Amino acid sequence: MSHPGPLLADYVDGTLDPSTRAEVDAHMRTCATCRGELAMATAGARAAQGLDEPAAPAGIGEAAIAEAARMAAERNPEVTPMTGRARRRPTTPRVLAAAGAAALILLLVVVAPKLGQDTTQNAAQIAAGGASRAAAYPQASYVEIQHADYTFAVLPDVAAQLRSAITSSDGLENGSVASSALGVGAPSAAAVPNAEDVSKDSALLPTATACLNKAFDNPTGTLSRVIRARYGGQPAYLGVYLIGPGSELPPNLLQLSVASVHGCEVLGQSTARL
Amino acid sequence: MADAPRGAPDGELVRRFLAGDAGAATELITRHERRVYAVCLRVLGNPDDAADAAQDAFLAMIRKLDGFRGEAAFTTWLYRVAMNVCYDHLRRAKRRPVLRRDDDAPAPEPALDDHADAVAGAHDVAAALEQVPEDFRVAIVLADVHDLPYDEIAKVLDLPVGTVKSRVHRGRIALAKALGIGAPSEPADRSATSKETRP
Repeated sequence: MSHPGPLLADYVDGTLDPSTRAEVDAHMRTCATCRGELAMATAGARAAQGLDEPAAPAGIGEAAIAEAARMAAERNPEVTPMTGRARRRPTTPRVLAAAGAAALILLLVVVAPKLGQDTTQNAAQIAAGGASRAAAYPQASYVEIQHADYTFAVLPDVAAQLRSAITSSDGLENGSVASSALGVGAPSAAAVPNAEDVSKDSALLPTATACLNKAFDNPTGTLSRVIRARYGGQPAYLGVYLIGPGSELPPNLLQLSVASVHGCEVLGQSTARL
Repeated sequence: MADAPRGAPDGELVRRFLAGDAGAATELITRHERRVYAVCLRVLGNPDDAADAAQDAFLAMIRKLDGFRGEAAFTTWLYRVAMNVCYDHLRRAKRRPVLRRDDDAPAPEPALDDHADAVAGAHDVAAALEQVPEDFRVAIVLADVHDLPYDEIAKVLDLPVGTVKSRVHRGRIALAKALGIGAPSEPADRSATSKETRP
Protein backbone atom coordinates (compact mmCIF):
# COMPACT_ATOMS: atom_id res chain seq x y z
CA MET A 1 0.00 0.00 0.00
CA SER A 2 1.28 3.49 -0.84
CA HIS A 3 0.99 6.35 1.65
CA PRO A 4 -2.67 6.42 2.71
CA GLY A 5 -2.84 10.26 2.71
CA PRO A 6 -6.46 11.42 3.10
CA LEU A 7 -7.45 7.98 4.38
CA LEU A 8 -5.71 9.02 7.55
CA ALA A 9 -8.57 11.47 8.19
CA ASP A 10 -10.95 8.51 8.38
CA TYR A 11 -8.35 6.56 10.34
CA VAL A 12 -8.17 9.30 12.98
CA ASP A 13 -11.97 9.41 13.10
CA GLY A 14 -12.14 5.64 13.49
CA THR A 15 -14.47 5.32 10.51
CA LEU A 16 -12.36 3.08 8.25
CA ASP A 17 -13.77 -0.32 7.45
CA PRO A 18 -11.80 -3.15 9.09
CA SER A 19 -10.03 -4.40 5.97
CA THR A 20 -8.86 -0.92 4.90
CA ARG A 21 -7.80 -0.20 8.44
CA ALA A 22 -5.73 -3.39 8.47
CA GLU A 23 -4.00 -2.28 5.26
CA VAL A 24 -3.25 1.13 6.73
CA ASP A 25 -1.94 -0.52 9.90
CA ALA A 26 0.35 -2.71 7.83
CA HIS A 27 1.68 0.34 6.02
CA MET A 28 2.20 2.15 9.31
CA ARG A 29 4.49 -0.54 10.58
CA THR A 30 6.95 0.23 7.83
CA CYS A 31 6.47 3.98 7.27
CA ALA A 32 7.77 6.39 9.87
CA THR A 33 6.50 9.34 7.81
CA CYS A 34 2.92 8.16 8.03
CA ARG A 35 3.30 7.29 11.70
CA GLY A 36 4.42 10.84 12.33
CA GLU A 37 1.56 12.26 10.28
CA LEU A 38 -0.92 10.11 12.14
CA ALA A 39 0.35 11.23 15.52
CA MET A 40 0.15 14.89 14.53
CA ALA A 41 -3.24 14.58 12.84
CA THR A 42 -4.60 12.84 15.93
CA ALA A 43 -3.27 15.60 18.16
CA GLY A 44 -4.63 18.29 15.84
CA ALA A 45 -8.06 16.68 15.70
CA ARG A 46 -8.17 16.28 19.46
CA ALA A 47 -7.25 19.94 19.97
CA ALA A 48 -9.84 21.21 17.50
CA GLN A 49 -12.54 18.96 18.93
CA GLY A 50 -11.89 20.50 22.33
CA LEU A 51 -12.91 23.96 21.16
CA ASP A 52 -16.26 25.08 22.47
CA GLU A 53 -19.06 26.88 20.70
CA PRO A 54 -19.14 30.35 22.28
CA ALA A 55 -22.42 32.16 22.83
CA ALA A 56 -23.33 34.70 20.19
CA PRO A 57 -23.25 38.33 21.26
CA ALA A 58 -26.64 39.97 21.73
CA GLY A 59 -28.16 41.57 18.70
CA ILE A 60 -26.32 39.80 15.90
CA GLY A 61 -29.58 38.78 14.27
CA GLU A 62 -31.23 42.15 14.74
CA ALA A 63 -30.61 43.53 11.25
CA ALA A 64 -31.78 40.30 9.64
CA ILE A 65 -34.90 40.21 11.81
CA ALA A 66 -35.72 43.75 10.72
CA GLU A 67 -35.11 42.79 7.10
CA ALA A 68 -37.32 39.73 7.52
CA ALA A 69 -40.09 41.91 8.92
CA ARG A 70 -39.84 44.22 5.95
CA MET A 71 -39.86 41.35 3.46
CA ALA A 72 -42.70 39.60 5.23
CA ALA A 73 -44.73 42.81 5.19
CA GLU A 74 -44.19 43.03 1.45
CA ARG A 75 -45.43 39.51 1.02
CA ASN A 76 -48.28 39.96 3.42
CA PRO A 77 -49.40 43.62 3.46
CA GLU A 78 -51.81 43.00 6.33
CA VAL A 79 -48.90 42.55 8.68
CA THR A 80 -47.31 45.68 10.12
CA PRO A 81 -43.53 45.48 9.79
CA MET A 82 -41.38 45.82 12.89
CA THR A 83 -39.44 48.62 11.27
CA GLY A 84 -39.99 50.98 8.43
CA ARG A 85 -36.91 49.96 6.53
CA ALA A 86 -33.93 47.78 7.08
CA ARG A 87 -30.70 48.05 5.28
CA ARG A 88 -27.36 46.50 5.04
CA ARG A 89 -24.63 48.00 7.14
CA PRO A 90 -21.71 49.62 5.36
CA THR A 91 -19.56 46.95 3.80
CA THR A 92 -16.37 48.82 4.66
CA PRO A 93 -15.92 48.22 8.34
CA ARG A 94 -13.13 50.67 8.93
CA VAL A 95 -13.46 54.36 9.56
CA LEU A 96 -13.32 56.71 6.64
CA ALA A 97 -12.97 60.42 7.29
CA ALA A 98 -15.48 61.22 4.57
CA ALA A 99 -17.99 58.83 6.02
CA GLY A 100 -17.50 60.37 9.44
CA ALA A 101 -18.11 63.85 8.10
CA ALA A 102 -21.17 62.74 6.17
CA ALA A 103 -22.45 60.94 9.24
CA LEU A 104 -21.98 64.05 11.31
CA ILE A 105 -24.03 66.09 8.87
CA LEU A 106 -26.65 63.37 8.94
CA LEU A 107 -26.80 63.43 12.71
CA LEU A 108 -27.12 67.18 12.81
CA VAL A 109 -29.75 67.38 10.14
CA VAL A 110 -31.83 64.43 11.21
CA VAL A 111 -31.35 64.24 14.95
CA ALA A 112 -30.52 67.65 16.28
CA PRO A 113 -33.61 69.46 15.00
CA LYS A 114 -35.87 66.82 16.54
CA LEU A 115 -34.03 66.99 19.84
CA GLY A 116 -34.45 70.72 19.83
CA GLN A 117 -38.10 70.53 18.98
CA ASP A 118 -38.80 68.18 21.81
CA THR A 119 -36.87 70.38 24.19
CA THR A 120 -38.83 73.39 23.04
CA GLN A 121 -42.04 71.52 23.66
CA ASN A 122 -40.68 70.49 27.02
CA ALA A 123 -39.91 74.08 27.94
CA ALA A 124 -43.48 74.96 27.14
CA GLN A 125 -44.66 72.15 29.36
CA ILE A 126 -42.46 73.34 32.20
CA ALA A 127 -43.70 76.90 31.73
CA ALA A 128 -47.24 75.61 31.94
CA GLY A 129 -46.29 74.02 35.25
CA GLY A 130 -47.06 70.67 36.76
CA ALA A 131 -44.68 68.65 34.59
CA SER A 132 -43.01 65.77 36.36
CA ARG A 133 -39.36 65.01 35.77
CA ALA A 134 -40.24 62.04 33.62
CA ALA A 135 -42.30 64.27 31.40
CA ALA A 136 -40.00 67.25 31.77
CA TYR A 137 -37.14 65.95 29.68
CA PRO A 138 -37.93 64.45 26.32
CA GLN A 139 -37.51 60.70 26.33
CA ALA A 140 -36.53 58.56 23.40
CA SER A 141 -39.41 56.57 22.02
CA TYR A 142 -37.58 54.82 19.21
CA VAL A 143 -34.13 54.07 17.87
CA GLU A 144 -32.99 55.91 14.79
CA ILE A 145 -31.16 53.56 12.51
CA GLN A 146 -28.53 55.34 10.48
CA HIS A 147 -26.32 54.07 7.75
CA ALA A 148 -23.34 55.97 9.09
CA ASP A 149 -19.98 55.54 10.75
CA TYR A 150 -18.93 57.90 13.54
CA THR A 151 -15.44 58.51 14.83
CA PHE A 152 -13.99 59.43 18.17
CA ALA A 153 -12.64 62.63 16.64
CA VAL A 154 -16.07 64.00 15.77
CA LEU A 155 -17.77 63.03 19.04
CA PRO A 156 -17.13 66.33 20.90
CA ASP A 157 -18.31 68.26 17.86
CA VAL A 158 -21.46 66.19 17.67
CA ALA A 159 -22.19 66.84 21.36
CA ALA A 160 -21.44 70.54 20.96
CA GLN A 161 -23.69 70.81 17.94
CA LEU A 162 -26.49 68.96 19.68
CA ARG A 163 -26.14 71.54 22.45
CA SER A 164 -26.32 74.32 19.89
CA ALA A 165 -29.45 72.79 18.46
CA ILE A 166 -31.07 72.95 21.88
CA THR A 167 -29.90 76.40 22.92
CA SER A 168 -30.23 78.14 19.54
CA SER A 169 -33.65 78.40 18.04
CA ASP A 170 -32.03 78.97 14.64
CA GLY A 171 -30.33 75.65 14.98
CA LEU A 172 -33.64 73.98 15.55
CA GLU A 173 -35.03 75.07 12.29
CA ASN A 174 -32.07 74.92 9.99
CA GLY A 175 -29.43 72.21 9.83
CA SER A 176 -27.16 74.46 7.82
CA VAL A 177 -26.34 76.49 10.91
CA ALA A 178 -24.89 73.49 12.65
CA SER A 179 -23.04 72.12 9.68
CA SER A 180 -21.53 75.44 8.64
CA ALA A 181 -20.10 75.76 12.13
CA LEU A 182 -18.14 72.61 11.42
CA GLY A 183 -16.82 73.99 8.19
CA VAL A 184 -18.39 71.25 6.13
CA GLY A 185 -20.73 73.53 4.22
CA ALA A 186 -24.45 73.61 4.01
CA PRO A 187 -25.98 70.17 3.65
CA SER A 188 -27.70 69.23 0.46
CA ALA A 189 -29.44 66.15 -0.71
CA ALA A 190 -26.20 65.01 -2.34
CA ALA A 191 -24.13 65.75 0.77
CA VAL A 192 -26.29 63.59 3.01
CA PRO A 193 -26.05 60.08 1.66
CA ASN A 194 -28.72 57.69 2.79
CA ALA A 195 -30.67 60.46 4.51
CA GLU A 196 -33.80 58.99 3.03
CA ASP A 197 -32.74 55.67 4.41
CA VAL A 198 -32.92 56.64 8.09
CA SER A 199 -35.61 54.65 9.81
CA LYS A 200 -37.13 54.45 13.27
CA ASP A 201 -37.41 51.24 15.21
CA SER A 202 -39.36 51.46 18.44
CA ALA A 203 -39.07 47.72 19.02
CA LEU A 204 -35.32 48.07 19.31
CA LEU A 205 -35.48 50.73 22.02
CA PRO A 206 -35.54 48.37 25.05
CA THR A 207 -32.52 46.47 23.74
CA ALA A 208 -30.61 49.65 22.97
CA THR A 209 -31.47 51.19 26.33
CA ALA A 210 -30.44 48.07 28.20
CA CYS A 211 -27.17 48.00 26.27
CA LEU A 212 -26.38 51.62 27.09
CA ASN A 213 -27.36 51.04 30.73
CA LYS A 214 -25.05 48.07 30.90
CA ALA A 215 -22.15 49.85 29.26
CA PHE A 216 -22.42 53.01 31.34
CA ASP A 217 -23.70 51.41 34.55
CA ASN A 218 -27.18 52.95 34.54
CA PRO A 219 -26.14 56.51 33.73
CA THR A 220 -27.93 59.48 35.19
CA GLY A 221 -30.04 61.70 33.02
CA THR A 222 -32.89 61.15 30.63
CA LEU A 223 -32.21 59.20 27.49
CA SER A 224 -33.59 61.56 24.89
CA ARG A 225 -32.29 60.12 21.64
CA VAL A 226 -30.93 56.76 20.63
CA ILE A 227 -29.16 56.12 17.36
CA ARG A 228 -28.07 52.80 15.93
CA ALA A 229 -25.13 53.37 13.61
CA ARG A 230 -21.47 52.41 13.50
CA TYR A 231 -18.68 53.88 15.54
CA GLY A 232 -15.10 53.31 14.54
CA GLY A 233 -16.34 50.65 12.17
CA GLN A 234 -18.34 48.57 14.62
CA PRO A 235 -22.07 48.53 15.29
CA ALA A 236 -22.91 50.96 18.08
CA TYR A 237 -25.69 52.63 19.99
CA LEU A 238 -25.35 56.37 20.51
CA GLY A 239 -27.36 57.62 23.47
CA VAL A 240 -28.08 61.29 24.01
CA TYR A 241 -28.74 61.99 27.70
CA LEU A 242 -30.11 65.19 29.13
CA ILE A 243 -29.02 65.88 32.68
CA GLY A 244 -30.51 68.60 34.86
CA PRO A 245 -30.37 69.88 38.43
CA GLY A 246 -33.93 68.96 39.37
CA SER A 247 -37.35 67.97 38.25
CA GLU A 248 -38.61 71.52 37.81
CA LEU A 249 -35.54 72.89 36.05
CA PRO A 250 -34.41 72.47 32.47
CA PRO A 251 -31.43 70.26 31.66
CA ASN A 252 -28.01 71.88 31.84
CA LEU A 253 -25.85 69.07 30.56
CA LEU A 254 -25.91 66.93 27.44
CA GLN A 255 -24.05 63.65 27.40
CA LEU A 256 -23.44 61.67 24.25
CA SER A 257 -22.57 58.07 25.16
CA VAL A 258 -21.56 55.38 22.69
CA ALA A 259 -21.75 51.64 23.41
CA SER A 260 -20.99 48.65 21.23
CA VAL A 261 -23.99 46.66 20.06
CA HIS A 262 -22.02 43.47 20.59
CA GLY A 263 -21.07 43.09 24.23
CA CYS A 264 -22.42 46.50 25.26
CA GLU A 265 -19.02 47.96 26.04
CA VAL A 266 -18.09 51.62 26.35
CA LEU A 267 -16.79 53.00 23.07
CA GLY A 268 -16.84 56.73 23.70
CA GLN A 269 -18.46 59.60 25.51
CA SER A 270 -18.63 63.34 25.18
CA THR A 271 -20.33 65.99 27.28
CA ALA A 272 -21.53 69.47 26.45
CA ARG A 273 -22.86 72.03 28.92
CA LEU A 274 -26.20 73.48 27.89
CA MET B 1 -50.77 35.86 12.86
CA ALA B 2 -49.81 32.95 15.06
CA ASP B 3 -46.31 32.85 16.49
CA ALA B 4 -43.94 30.47 14.80
CA PRO B 5 -43.83 27.32 16.92
CA ARG B 6 -40.46 26.88 18.60
CA GLY B 7 -40.31 23.21 17.83
CA ALA B 8 -41.17 23.51 14.15
CA PRO B 9 -38.60 22.01 11.76
CA ASP B 10 -36.37 24.45 9.91
CA GLY B 11 -38.05 23.68 6.60
CA GLU B 12 -41.44 24.52 8.05
CA LEU B 13 -40.12 27.84 9.36
CA VAL B 14 -38.71 28.64 5.93
CA ARG B 15 -42.09 27.89 4.34
CA ARG B 16 -43.89 30.06 6.87
CA PHE B 17 -41.50 32.96 6.37
CA LEU B 18 -41.95 32.79 2.62
CA ALA B 19 -45.70 32.93 3.24
CA GLY B 20 -45.25 36.24 5.08
CA ASP B 21 -44.63 35.17 8.69
CA ALA B 22 -41.74 37.30 9.98
CA GLY B 23 -41.81 35.47 13.32
CA ALA B 24 -40.70 32.30 11.58
CA ALA B 25 -37.54 34.06 10.40
CA THR B 26 -36.91 35.34 13.91
CA GLU B 27 -37.16 31.79 15.22
CA LEU B 28 -34.76 30.54 12.53
CA ILE B 29 -32.24 33.24 13.41
CA THR B 30 -32.54 32.65 17.15
CA ARG B 31 -32.17 28.92 16.67
CA HIS B 32 -29.01 29.16 14.60
CA GLU B 33 -27.27 32.32 15.80
CA ARG B 34 -24.91 30.50 18.13
CA ARG B 35 -23.89 28.03 15.43
CA VAL B 36 -23.34 30.73 12.81
CA TYR B 37 -21.43 33.03 15.14
CA ALA B 38 -19.26 30.16 16.35
CA VAL B 39 -18.28 29.02 12.87
CA CYS B 40 -17.51 32.60 11.85
CA LEU B 41 -15.42 33.10 14.99
CA ARG B 42 -13.32 29.99 14.39
CA VAL B 43 -12.79 30.78 10.72
CA LEU B 44 -12.10 34.50 11.13
CA GLY B 45 -10.46 34.34 14.54
CA ASN B 46 -11.71 37.70 15.79
CA PRO B 47 -14.93 38.31 17.75
CA ASP B 48 -15.72 41.63 16.09
CA ASP B 49 -15.18 40.28 12.60
CA ALA B 50 -17.17 37.19 13.51
CA ALA B 51 -20.10 39.26 14.76
CA ASP B 52 -20.04 41.32 11.57
CA ALA B 53 -19.86 38.20 9.44
CA ALA B 54 -22.66 36.51 11.37
CA GLN B 55 -24.86 39.55 10.86
CA ASP B 56 -24.08 39.55 7.16
CA ALA B 57 -24.72 35.81 7.01
CA PHE B 58 -28.18 36.18 8.53
CA LEU B 59 -29.02 39.05 6.20
CA ALA B 60 -27.88 36.91 3.27
CA MET B 61 -29.88 34.00 4.65
CA ILE B 62 -33.07 36.07 4.83
CA ARG B 63 -32.60 37.43 1.34
CA LYS B 64 -31.82 34.06 -0.17
CA LEU B 65 -34.38 31.95 1.62
CA ASP B 66 -36.62 31.84 -1.42
CA GLY B 67 -33.75 30.02 -3.13
CA PHE B 68 -33.65 27.28 -0.50
CA ARG B 69 -35.11 24.25 -2.21
CA GLY B 70 -34.87 21.81 0.63
CA GLU B 71 -32.57 19.52 -1.37
CA ALA B 72 -30.00 19.72 1.40
CA ALA B 73 -30.57 20.05 5.13
CA PHE B 74 -31.23 23.65 6.13
CA THR B 75 -28.14 23.68 8.34
CA THR B 76 -25.99 22.59 5.39
CA TRP B 77 -27.44 25.39 3.30
CA LEU B 78 -26.93 27.89 6.14
CA TYR B 79 -23.32 26.79 6.66
CA ARG B 80 -22.77 27.37 2.97
CA VAL B 81 -24.20 30.90 3.20
CA ALA B 82 -22.06 31.58 6.28
CA MET B 83 -18.90 30.21 4.68
CA ASN B 84 -19.39 32.38 1.61
CA VAL B 85 -19.67 35.42 3.86
CA CYS B 86 -16.57 34.37 5.81
CA TYR B 87 -14.57 33.97 2.61
CA ASP B 88 -15.71 37.46 1.57
CA HIS B 89 -14.47 38.81 4.89
CA LEU B 90 -11.16 37.00 4.51
CA ARG B 91 -10.72 38.45 1.03
CA ARG B 92 -11.49 41.94 2.28
CA ALA B 93 -9.06 41.51 5.16
CA LYS B 94 -6.31 40.66 2.69
CA ARG B 95 -6.99 43.86 0.79
CA ARG B 96 -6.75 46.04 3.87
CA PRO B 97 -3.54 48.09 3.82
CA VAL B 98 -2.94 47.43 7.52
CA LEU B 99 -4.00 44.14 8.96
CA ARG B 100 -4.74 43.99 12.61
CA ARG B 101 -3.66 40.43 13.15
CA ASP B 102 -1.62 39.25 10.18
CA ASP B 103 1.28 41.60 10.65
CA ASP B 104 4.17 41.69 8.24
CA ALA B 105 6.30 39.78 10.66
CA PRO B 106 5.42 36.10 10.55
CA ALA B 107 4.22 34.50 13.73
CA PRO B 108 7.09 32.95 15.67
CA GLU B 109 7.53 29.27 15.00
CA PRO B 110 6.59 27.34 18.11
CA ALA B 111 9.16 24.98 19.46
CA LEU B 112 8.24 21.50 18.36
CA ASP B 113 7.27 19.16 21.09
CA ASP B 114 7.66 15.45 20.68
CA HIS B 115 4.68 14.75 22.86
CA ALA B 116 1.48 14.50 20.88
CA ASP B 117 -0.37 14.58 24.14
CA ALA B 118 0.88 18.05 24.97
CA VAL B 119 -1.90 19.91 26.65
CA ALA B 120 -3.09 23.12 25.07
CA GLY B 121 -5.75 25.35 26.46
CA ALA B 122 -8.73 26.44 24.36
CA HIS B 123 -7.21 29.91 24.03
CA ASP B 124 -3.98 28.45 22.67
CA VAL B 125 -5.88 26.25 20.24
CA ALA B 126 -7.98 29.16 19.00
CA ALA B 127 -4.82 31.22 18.47
CA ALA B 128 -3.07 28.33 16.75
CA LEU B 129 -6.07 27.81 14.50
CA GLU B 130 -5.50 31.26 13.04
CA GLN B 131 -2.10 30.12 11.79
CA VAL B 132 -3.61 27.27 9.80
CA PRO B 133 -4.06 28.15 6.09
CA GLU B 134 -7.64 29.25 5.56
CA ASP B 135 -8.83 26.40 3.33
CA PHE B 136 -7.53 23.85 5.82
CA ARG B 137 -8.85 25.89 8.73
CA VAL B 138 -12.36 25.98 7.28
CA ALA B 139 -12.24 22.21 6.77
CA ILE B 140 -11.22 21.38 10.33
CA VAL B 141 -13.62 23.92 11.82
CA LEU B 142 -16.49 22.23 10.03
CA ALA B 143 -15.24 18.69 10.66
CA ASP B 144 -13.80 18.82 14.16
CA VAL B 145 -15.35 21.87 15.84
CA HIS B 146 -18.84 21.57 14.31
CA ASP B 147 -18.71 17.82 13.78
CA LEU B 148 -20.11 17.83 10.25
CA PRO B 149 -19.75 14.61 8.23
CA TYR B 150 -17.36 14.82 5.28
CA ASP B 151 -20.12 14.46 2.69
CA GLU B 152 -21.98 17.38 4.25
CA ILE B 153 -18.81 19.50 4.30
CA ALA B 154 -18.39 18.63 0.63
CA LYS B 155 -21.84 20.12 -0.04
CA VAL B 156 -21.11 23.20 2.07
CA LEU B 157 -17.86 23.91 0.27
CA ASP B 158 -18.87 22.49 -3.12
CA LEU B 159 -15.85 20.22 -3.18
CA PRO B 160 -15.30 16.50 -3.78
CA VAL B 161 -15.33 14.46 -0.58
CA GLY B 162 -11.73 13.35 -1.21
CA THR B 163 -10.60 16.96 -1.29
CA VAL B 164 -12.40 17.62 1.97
CA LYS B 165 -10.67 14.67 3.65
CA SER B 166 -7.32 15.81 2.35
CA ARG B 167 -7.89 19.34 3.68
CA VAL B 168 -9.03 18.04 7.04
CA HIS B 169 -6.00 15.81 7.34
CA ARG B 170 -3.56 18.55 6.35
CA GLY B 171 -5.39 21.04 8.55
CA ARG B 172 -5.06 18.79 11.57
CA ILE B 173 -1.35 18.45 10.98
CA ALA B 174 -0.98 22.20 10.49
CA LEU B 175 -2.86 22.83 13.73
CA ALA B 176 -0.64 20.40 15.59
CA LYS B 177 2.42 22.18 14.23
CA ALA B 178 1.00 25.55 15.23
CA LEU B 179 0.54 24.17 18.73
CA GLY B 180 4.16 23.10 18.81
CA ILE B 181 3.33 19.43 18.55
CA GLY B 182 5.77 17.55 16.35
CA ALA B 183 5.96 13.99 15.14
CA PRO B 184 7.37 11.63 17.74
CA SER B 185 11.11 11.22 17.37
CA GLU B 186 12.28 7.93 15.94
CA PRO B 187 15.16 6.72 13.83
CA ALA B 188 14.88 6.25 10.09
CA ASP B 189 12.44 3.66 8.76
CA ARG B 190 14.79 0.69 8.66
CA SER B 191 16.06 1.06 12.20
CA ALA B 192 12.61 1.97 13.39
CA THR B 193 11.35 -1.37 12.15
CA SER B 194 14.09 -3.25 13.91
CA LYS B 195 13.44 -1.27 17.07
CA GLU B 196 9.79 -2.18 17.00
CA THR B 197 10.55 -5.87 16.72
CA ARG B 198 12.59 -5.86 19.88
CA PRO B 199 10.85 -7.19 22.94
